[in-house]
Amino acid sequence: VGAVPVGRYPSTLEHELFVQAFLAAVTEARVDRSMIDALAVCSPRPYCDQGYFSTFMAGFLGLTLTELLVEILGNGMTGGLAFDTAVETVRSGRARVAVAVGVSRETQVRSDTHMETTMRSVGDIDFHSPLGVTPISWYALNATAYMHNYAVTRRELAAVAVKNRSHAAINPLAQYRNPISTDDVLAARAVSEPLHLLDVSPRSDGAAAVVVTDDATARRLGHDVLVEVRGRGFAHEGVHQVPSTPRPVDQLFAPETAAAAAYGEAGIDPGDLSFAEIYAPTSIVEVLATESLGLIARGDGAKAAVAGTTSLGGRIPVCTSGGCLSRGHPPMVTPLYNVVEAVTQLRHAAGARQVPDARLGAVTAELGDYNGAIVHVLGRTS
Amino acid sequence: VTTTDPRPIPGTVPRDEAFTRPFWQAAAEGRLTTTRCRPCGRLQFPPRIVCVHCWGRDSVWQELGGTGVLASFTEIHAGPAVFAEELPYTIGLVDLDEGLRVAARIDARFTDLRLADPVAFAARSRNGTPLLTFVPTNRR
Repeated sequence: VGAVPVGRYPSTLEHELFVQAFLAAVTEARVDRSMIDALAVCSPRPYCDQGYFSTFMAGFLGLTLTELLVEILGNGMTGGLAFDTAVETVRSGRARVAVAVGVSRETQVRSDTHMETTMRSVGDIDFHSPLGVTPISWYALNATAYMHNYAVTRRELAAVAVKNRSHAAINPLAQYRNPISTDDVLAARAVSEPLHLLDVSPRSDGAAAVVVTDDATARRLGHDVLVEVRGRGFAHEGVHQVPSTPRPVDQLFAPETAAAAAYGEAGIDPGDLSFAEIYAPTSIVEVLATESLGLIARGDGAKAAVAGTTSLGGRIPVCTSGGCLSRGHPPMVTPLYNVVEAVTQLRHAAGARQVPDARLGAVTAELGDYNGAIVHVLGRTS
Repeated sequence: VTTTDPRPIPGTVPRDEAFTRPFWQAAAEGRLTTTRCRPCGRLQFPPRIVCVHCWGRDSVWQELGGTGVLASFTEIHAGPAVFAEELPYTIGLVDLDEGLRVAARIDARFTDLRLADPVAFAARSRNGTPLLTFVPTNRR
């Protein structure tokens, strides 16, 4: 795996960030360029001036491919699908080595201008966008309902942000590493009530790459400790943000289905997981996702964060990287950063934020209001 | 030479389309409508040319009561630049009496609302185009 620290790169262009992450990953994997059969590239943000970015990059690197070169767009799930594509290409036997890689860069554009684009994506352009919806507003609707139904306070929800910042403080790839307090979260300006600035992701640039290979090739390359994909699940519920008929607003359905499939394939229960690296662009999403993944009982997600259950040292550490809130959230590649963190944990190379004896971890990616989810279970083999 | 693009910024107003025109005309008059599928008899929202439940393509327009309850709500303080002058504004999910869920503007501040508050559809517009809006009917 390879990644640049999440942050702001106002003067580093997409292809430069790509090269850094890509070469870091293939160098670490000891993969020679002639071995790479497939390249799955995350579609970049619309602000990437270079069109057909994936083939441009193959040309930029002089990388010949015999199995697949593809540019993938799956909204927030993009990086998860790029990883999934690389995995499936290897699992099917069509490729020995596949690389999932992506760049997401958007901080050169003002957030209110950026939202003029995203408002047309996270809703029906005729029936939702004219209301002035934003990506965060949908999650805020989840939060209002959840906080009411389970009598959860903003102070309790803030524990998620404080916990993630404490994890980010010891992650060299994280964008925000200075400690924050519950009071800081409560005092931050409102973004979409009841969510305030520190309850939501920052705006971020980033680039990450993951090298996937079969077991025999990995051994031949001299790797003693391997991280295996043990299970995979996907679900989309046929809803674009709002269903036509009422249902609970305070729970997420797609990750429950996807996780059940992933756990089933891996032959595990959620209680077997050592940690989970969750795609959660707001505090409330982490709460709801931990519940849908079966890590925390329904209604207890925020209270579990308060109790330290999801902190490093707790029963099931969640987002040891600092998560979207503090590691940072370059959306098109956030799922690859989640894989990078999971691999680092499973190699027992996470240093101060190491989960002791980590054996199994789950990573997720989502799109919409978690209307679609993909879950991978990764395991350590030595 | 300068030219002015007469089209509004995409996403700021509903597009004019033959199928949905009756919906927006009714909305301008304060009446909420949608399509009922003839083959399966079910309602859906928004109105569509195909039934989301059975993929039937034969539907009729039906008037709705325009009343329901708040399933959730949020007050947006950071929004798209084109809506900057309207900030902060409130949007919500309204569960209509007919068993449909509608996303809409809610004409109230966040702190004045409670879950399950009753609301009613109201004729509101922006620049001459209907803006789907509900108002609370239990003003405290």
